[in-house]
Amino acid sequence: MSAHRRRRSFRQMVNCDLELRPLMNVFIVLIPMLLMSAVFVEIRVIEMSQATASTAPASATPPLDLAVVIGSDAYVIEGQGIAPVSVPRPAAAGPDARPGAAASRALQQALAAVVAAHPGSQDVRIVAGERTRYQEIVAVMDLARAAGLPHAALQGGANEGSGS
Amino acid sequence: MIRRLRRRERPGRLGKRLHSGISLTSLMDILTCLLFFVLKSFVAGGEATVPPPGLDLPRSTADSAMTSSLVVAIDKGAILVGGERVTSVRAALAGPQMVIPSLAARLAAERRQQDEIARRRGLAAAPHRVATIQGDESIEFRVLQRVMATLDDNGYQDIALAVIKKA
Repeated sequence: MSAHRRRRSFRQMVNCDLELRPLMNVFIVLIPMLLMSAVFVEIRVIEMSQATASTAPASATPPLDLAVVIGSDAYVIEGQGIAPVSVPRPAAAGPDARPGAAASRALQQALAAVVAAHPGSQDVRIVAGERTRYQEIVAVMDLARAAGLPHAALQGGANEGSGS
Repeated sequence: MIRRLRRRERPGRLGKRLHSGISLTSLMDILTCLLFFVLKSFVAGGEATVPPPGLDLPRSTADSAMTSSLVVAIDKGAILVGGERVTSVRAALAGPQMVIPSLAARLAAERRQQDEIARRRGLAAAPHRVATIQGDESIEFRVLQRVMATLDDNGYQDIALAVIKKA
């Protein structure tokens, strides 16, 4: 009888709690792997303008048509009705060629002076040579934007604006 | 009189159970939130914005956010559309024409696919299309020029250049 009681009173306990440890283990492995492979940088875009005729209504004065030509040894700022301004371009070194600090400052000041003399102008053409490095073009666009020319367009045709 | 404890009252395996495991549910919640944050940080409009491996974007002070668009990547040796290699840079520079034939064919296929999707949704075809160029900082302008010309020739008039924001 005691054995019958033991069989009847025996209860098999079942663990009904949700087992989350395997899922947690997956996350513990996955998160560090994602963090190690992730690159925490902010990606932004430069919106290009079309190098065509402006859609603004025709005015009595001709458009400025400002252009920054990346030449082999100088940055030349030219436009309708303004004297060309030349800023020495240092010899580029390495694949990420950028204008030097002095050249950047001079170029930005020159562009700002043109913008101050022609308020309302926001368009600029960046004329680059075939071998001009992309980083240098972006750097010139940044300088133009800082000088008050946010709408930049790219154009080829400079005389060997070599970046190497 | 010695009272024998019934089986159910005895301490032990079937008696009072001691919960000795470490509760990691809270830690799992934190990791779940972190995972969603990381995924959200690298997806814009449902498309991954991370450039392909080995491609170094130029650094810029631009602060316009990237929008959902067709992504054309130009690394040191190949041109990719939507992550798939289309042609090599050397092949793209071969010949005097500005339009890259293989890239143009791929863009035409993308355009047809977008038009078909728009038609099935009952929407009109997009009047203008947007493309984002992820170019390596060391590529030459002639490569970029040909890619831009090909995009413009195939209906992608709005072009944006992807850059890394300077700190």
